[in-house]
Formats: sequence, C-alpha cells, structure tokens
Amino acid sequence: MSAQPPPVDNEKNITELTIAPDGRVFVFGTSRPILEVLEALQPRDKKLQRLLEHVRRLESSSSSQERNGS
Amino acid sequence: MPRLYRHRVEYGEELDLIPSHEFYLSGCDLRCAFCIAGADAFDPSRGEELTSELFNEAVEWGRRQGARNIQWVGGEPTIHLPAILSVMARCTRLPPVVWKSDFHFTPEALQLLDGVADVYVADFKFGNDSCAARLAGVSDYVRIITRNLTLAARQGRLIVRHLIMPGHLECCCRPVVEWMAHNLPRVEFSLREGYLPSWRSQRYIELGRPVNRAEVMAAREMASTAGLKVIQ
Repeated sequence: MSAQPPPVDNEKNITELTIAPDGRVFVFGTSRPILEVLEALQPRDKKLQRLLEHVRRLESSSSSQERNGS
Repeated sequence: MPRLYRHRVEYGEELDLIPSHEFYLSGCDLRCAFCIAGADAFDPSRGEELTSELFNEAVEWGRRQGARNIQWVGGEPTIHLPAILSVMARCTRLPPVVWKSDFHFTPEALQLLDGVADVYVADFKFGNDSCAARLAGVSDYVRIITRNLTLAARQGRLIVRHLIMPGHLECCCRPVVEWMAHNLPRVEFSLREGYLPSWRSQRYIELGRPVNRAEVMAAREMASTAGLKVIQ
C-alpha cells in the first residue's frame, strides 16, 4: 500500500500560513506536522497547547489499542 | 459528477472531530466575498471526478493516517448530494460522516441526509438578510438557515459555526448568538476566529483586514453571556 494519498491535484494540497503584524498566525489546512511547526512558532499559545495535548492523547490512546490488538 | 479538488487529513477543526479526513468538492451555491477557497470552490470543473474507486482508495488512505471520520466540505457538498450518497453507499468500510455545509438547502436534502450524516457542521454566517445579499448574493438567508438548523437539530448532532467577520459584530454575530440562545441553546456553538480577507473581500471596506483581538473577545463575550454551549 502506498503511503501517498490518491493523487488529486496535489499542487493544491498545501497548508496556508498567514502571519498578522501583531503576531497571530492564521492557518488554513492544518496537518499533523504543521501542528509541530506552530508549536515552535507559538510556544505560549494556550489554544494551540490544548489542541496538541488533545492530539497527543488521541495518538497515545490509539497506540495503546494497537499494542493490545484491539 | 462532482469533482474532488483536494482531500487530506486535517487538525484545524473542533477538537471532537479531529483528525478529520476532509473531501473538498468544487462548486458552491453561495458566492461569499471573503471565501478562503475562492476559485477552487466556485469552479465546478476543478479537480478529479469523484468515482467510487477514487473515494474508496482515499477513505482507506485516510484511515491509515488515523482519521476518525470523513468530512464533506466544499464549495458546498449538498449541491452534489445524489452523487455523494451513491459513492458512500458503495463504500464497504465507511467511517463516520461529517457534513460541513452552508445549510442553504431544501428540507428534502436534509431528509436524504437523515441517518447518513453522523454530525452536521453548519455555517451560520450572516445575522440578517441584508448582509447575506450584499456579501454572498443570496436572498431570504435567515429564514432558510434557521429552518434548516432547527430541522437538523432534531436529527442528531449539530455543531453551528459562526465566522467572526470584521465590522459585523452587531449586524451578524449578535443576531446569530441571540437566535441560538432563543432557539438552540443546547446545540454546540463554535466561534471561528480565522477570518482573512480573501477573494473579493477588498471590494468591501470593512472586510479588507483580519479580524482583530478586540472583536474576537467581544464575540466570545456575547456567546458566553448568552449562555451558549461554546466548544473549541
């Protein structure tokens, strides 16, 4: 199985980041790797931290289930 | 046949929905001046034909990426409803379905989705018909959207989104919040802060800038004071 998604106009498959003069970062199309980029850009952003904590909990739970074969 | 111009697993949605495998279909019934998808959303000739083969292959890829659901987005997916129902009916391992929509459709469309959509994510963009006509070229907006929200809330889980627009706190955000408080106070409400001036927004003087922090805080205060069930 390919790790690549079925090709649909891949040139459009980008994440758009816009940074406002006051430092706010606007994101359209947030992928998992982009969350790590955002964490590096905005380490004190509480909303982002909540999002990352949530995602990491999901991933940890998913990994546990895979290890337990469920 | 609808066309799929992008699909990917995204993490920018409400926490309960992520990771969500989003299917972007071209073609839309509205023409919101600030649409971030712009030409891709409006031109129905963009993308690949949505065949069962493409859909099934994409769904399996999304599953391997850890997606918890599939989400139909646009443009506006409801204009392609028969074709979408057809490809989903042929999918052997269909994940939970999120229907992200402008909610500008007929009650019959909602009947067809009953039992198919696990979660509705509805955009309630404008708080009055004048702003809807001016910025999206649509008439009778509030009556149609509120009718459909009321019907969808009876079907199952509904998340109502409102994009905070610069200069539209009193004319749009406040009436939306007030309508929700009076009619669907227990329905999840999501305030979106990511407005950016896109597509033709520069034609409208108030829309030509990002929403500022004060507007975001004011919108959040409105929703909180109204007692809405605000979700992240």
